[in-house]
Amino acid sequence: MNDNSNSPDQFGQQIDNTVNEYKASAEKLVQANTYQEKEDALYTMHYVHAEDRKAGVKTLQIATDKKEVINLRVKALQIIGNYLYNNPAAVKKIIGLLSATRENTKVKRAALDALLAIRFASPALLSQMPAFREGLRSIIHDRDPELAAKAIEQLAAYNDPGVLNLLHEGLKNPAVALAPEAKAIQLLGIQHTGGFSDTIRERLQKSRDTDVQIEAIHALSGDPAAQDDIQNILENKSKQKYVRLAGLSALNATAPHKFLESAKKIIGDPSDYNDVKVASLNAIAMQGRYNEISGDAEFLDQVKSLTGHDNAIVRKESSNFLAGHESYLENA
Amino acid sequence: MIVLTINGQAGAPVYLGWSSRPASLKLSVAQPQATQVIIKTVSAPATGDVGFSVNRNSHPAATLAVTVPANGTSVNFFVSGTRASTENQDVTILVTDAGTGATLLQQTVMVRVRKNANGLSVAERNRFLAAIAKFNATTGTPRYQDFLDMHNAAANTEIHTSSATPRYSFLVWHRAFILDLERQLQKIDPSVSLPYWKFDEVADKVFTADFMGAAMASGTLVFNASNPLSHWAINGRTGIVRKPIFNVQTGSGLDPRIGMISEKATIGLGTTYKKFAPQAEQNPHGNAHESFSIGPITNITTATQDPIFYLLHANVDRLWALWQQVHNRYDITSVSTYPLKGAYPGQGRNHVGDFLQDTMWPWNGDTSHSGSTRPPTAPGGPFPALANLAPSVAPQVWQMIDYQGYAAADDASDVDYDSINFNLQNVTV
Repeated sequence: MNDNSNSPDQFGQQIDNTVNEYKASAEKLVQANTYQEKEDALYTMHYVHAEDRKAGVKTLQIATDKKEVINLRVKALQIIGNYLYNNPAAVKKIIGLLSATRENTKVKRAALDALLAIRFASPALLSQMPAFREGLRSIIHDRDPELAAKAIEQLAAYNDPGVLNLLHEGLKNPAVALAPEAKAIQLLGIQHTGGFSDTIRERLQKSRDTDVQIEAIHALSGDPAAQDDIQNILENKSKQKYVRLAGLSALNATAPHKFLESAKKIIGDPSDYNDVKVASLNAIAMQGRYNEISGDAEFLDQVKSLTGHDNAIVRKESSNFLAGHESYLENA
Repeated sequence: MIVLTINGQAGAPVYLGWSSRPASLKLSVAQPQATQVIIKTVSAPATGDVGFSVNRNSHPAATLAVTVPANGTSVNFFVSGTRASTENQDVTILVTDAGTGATLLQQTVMVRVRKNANGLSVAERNRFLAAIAKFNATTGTPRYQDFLDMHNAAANTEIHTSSATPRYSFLVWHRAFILDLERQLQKIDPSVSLPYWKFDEVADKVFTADFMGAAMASGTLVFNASNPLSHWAINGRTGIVRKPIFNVQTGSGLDPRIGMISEKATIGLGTTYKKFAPQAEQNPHGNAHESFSIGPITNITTATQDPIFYLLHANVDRLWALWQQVHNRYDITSVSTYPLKGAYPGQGRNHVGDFLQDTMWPWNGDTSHSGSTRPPTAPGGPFPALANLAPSVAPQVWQMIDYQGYAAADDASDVDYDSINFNLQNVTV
């Protein structure tokens, strides 16, 4: 009767099959003793059911036992998440893997992934956040760069003052940098506490790396002291496209009148780039700021001239803009 | 002259889903004889289509013969979508004279359902992006800020499980929350419905610069110049961070590092709501939020800063709807459909807002409920209620369950998913 191509009865049978396949695999896992039996069971399971205590206990035992083969431990950690959600004791054991000495790197990575996968909705992890953060701190200088990078990212997102200060120091002295420059700026900007603005502004002025410039623009988008720098970047035709587009959105959000000044220059400049013209028109239209340009006949003529542009996206955006302006005039 | 009324309205653009909606025909001026008419549609293969039936529990037919009484009284029937629209008002209902074939009346309709984001047409995608970007830029009331405040740290325990006692209203509350947002978008563009991100499948058209953003190495998103999301700002701050753990071209939430369970495993979590809902809140819902290594979407208190939130939760809601269909869970009197009957008794492990007859924060304005805690403010005001549709301005838990209106047409909430049909014959209410 409609777009549904899968009848409820057929789908219901597939659900039953899925449930039965799980039960069979979980039973095999609980009974498994040899490497081969454990491997066969673990690799046919995609998850451990939250209420399947026997399978959960066995999976946790494999995940945390240093005598088990590494690939089995990793696989066990990849499927154990549902069992961890409401199980503080199990979560504690997985957190312990992060800071365990002489633990295998692949196991540590899988343990961290398992914890991160449940952090949004796990009362058990929520109750142990101090221990989890301590575990993360223990690996920020890990010899495995992927593990260290993940821990730094998470701690910065938790506004960990120690990591934020280390990231800040790294921007001033690359020899002690904890993360690549663009990443460090992004992480320092997440909480937009403002305490790092001067350093980030300096990096925006000095760095030639486009990723660094984009991150710095977004990090400074709420900072009135950065408005002139950002306006200069937006109007600088030698800057890379995505850097200018980041500047455009940042200036539009924090200094809309300055943005409008720049947008008019960009629209009226035949030598400026199509993407920046399109984004400028789009920004004014999306915010419905037609009242601010309605009396500017010269600007509207420039937009009209773009409806005959050789670029289809410019033609479309300028036509949409003028249609929006017409609608504004009708309703004004 | 003949008057066609659908959903209690005549003459206005009509929006339908799959569920049967009441309709009627009448003569505006009494005539000597009854008029025999045929009701049918004009629609191209790529557009939407609707069907007609005399009873709610009949399959809709492409045409319906009706006798319109001479004395001006109404003849009632039902109309429902049979194929999803791609454009606003792309279906035309024709009422023709059964004898002469002359057209007596035309009424345009859109069959507006929530679709898989990965399969949207360019026009559908762009309409959604423009609407949500415009809403984000709106300074009136309600504002996007209200949706941030409804899902912040102060709201957390009201809307999520955060202890050993499940918050049974999690699915219910979020169904209302995303419907509220969808209705705000429809005030801007009535052709828009929330797309869903089917997070256990490849969504290579979603995480792109012309849709929800393409992540740089750091996880900061870049957008094409014409993408309205490029101007997305929260509290004057630009730049959305969202770094997928999965390969956006070939992978999904089923990536082993994320550990999400599949759609089939989700529907198989249990046959009662009491089993299903608390587990689904954790996995796949929680794991879907954690499909990204960093960004506001990974944290309860900041998740709504990222517009992907609504696509993610549309899919969580679709999974509940699919579970309801597979297990026939629409009868609100059944404990298998919803476990907590009546109203909050004033004490106990469960919270106010979890019981079937409770009204839901923040739409009810309740910030100081006796015997239980609620957030200190109620942002956003009353629910944007629509005539002849659920929920009311202060939604009750039960109103969000039978969302297609199996028990009564007025219980429907104007929400349907492309892949979940409406079939009264298979449902117990």
